[in-house]
Amino acid sequence: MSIVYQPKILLLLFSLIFFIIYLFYLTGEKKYKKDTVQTIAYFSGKTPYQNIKLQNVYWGFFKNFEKLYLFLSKIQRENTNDYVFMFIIWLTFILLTICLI
Amino acid sequence: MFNLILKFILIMLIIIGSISLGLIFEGIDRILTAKMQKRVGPPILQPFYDIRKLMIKESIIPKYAIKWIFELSPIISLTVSILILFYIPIVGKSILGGSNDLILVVYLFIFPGLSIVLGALSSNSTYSNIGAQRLVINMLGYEFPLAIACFVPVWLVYKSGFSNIFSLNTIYTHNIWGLVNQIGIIGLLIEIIAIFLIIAGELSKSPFDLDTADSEIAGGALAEYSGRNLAMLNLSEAVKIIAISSLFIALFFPWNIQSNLIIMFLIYILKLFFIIFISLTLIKTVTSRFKISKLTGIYWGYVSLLATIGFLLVLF
Repeated sequence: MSIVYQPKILLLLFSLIFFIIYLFYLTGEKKYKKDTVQTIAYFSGKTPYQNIKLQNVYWGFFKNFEKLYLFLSKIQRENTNDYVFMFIIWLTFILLTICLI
Repeated sequence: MFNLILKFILIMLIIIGSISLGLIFEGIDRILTAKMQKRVGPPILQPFYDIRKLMIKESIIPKYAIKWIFELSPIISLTVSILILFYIPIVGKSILGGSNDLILVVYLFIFPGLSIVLGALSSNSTYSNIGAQRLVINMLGYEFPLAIACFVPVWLVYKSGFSNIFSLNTIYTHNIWGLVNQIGIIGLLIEIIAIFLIIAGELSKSPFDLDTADSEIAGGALAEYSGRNLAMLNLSEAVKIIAISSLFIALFFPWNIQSNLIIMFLIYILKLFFIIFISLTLIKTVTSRFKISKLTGIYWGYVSLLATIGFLLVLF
């Protein structure tokens, strides 16, 4: 067993497995009918607008914590002292937990 | 030179073995699911036939897709899924065991999902975009309870005074069930319940199959994939089943490591079957899909709470 984690071996092994998998991948059928209707991305219904914002990636996450965000937005007074105060409270909590454990 | 050939044979054996085992377990999963739903079900080798069929089908690339990302993502997903197995002790110690390999393995598990997200986003399809978004939310959800669950054996090994606590080999060679009292055993059992849910989430199976929801978003992240690209993704999923189950076997079920290799391998298969049956087949059959707006709350609320309660009981 090696004492420390070795990134070189990881990369070497990754390359080797990638190469083997790629050879297997090449045995598959690569042809398809270009510039035909089958290359148009599937969608049933009215075509939506094309430029979907990247922030939509986290939509479900924000939706889930909507109540929390609204609560946090409400209590935020844009006062630096509040942030420092919260930081001290959390730091004390974390240090106390570590000490107790 | 002989040593090098031997190593290459070992690597090939792990690649072929993990893919075959994953596909066989997928076949068993399909049969058991069918039996529970009072259907006949497909033959056990159906996943193999599916892969063979996909390899001879056209690999269509959408017109406005970013071709190289779209094609590369499935290969990277499969490569990393196989790579993880080299760091997990399966029969005896792992092949590439290091001092912090548990952290490495937890991070490597992000890559297969992340490459599917990139591939889906590069396809320029609405359904794939929604699927990718859902997969990101799913990943954000299960990572937190996964971290808690992985920390429990580390804590037990640390408390018992062993060195190299983040090494999977260290955890595997010290049976954690012997390091806890009666309350701790209850804690570990609660932790296992959380783990079954985490595995279902990690593999995007029901009730966490939001990213590929066929009836809602037509396959979601995989909507535009076909032919050999889809075959690679299916293989990646099969290997991931083996990898994630093997990780939790090494962490929570490390028994019978003193026997001979064949018996150890048979016991490993039995443990694998037990984990896959509960976390995939059983949970998938008896539950229906969650809403996307509830998913993170379920992971960060209920599953994390289960994992934390388990951890607190282990602390006693």
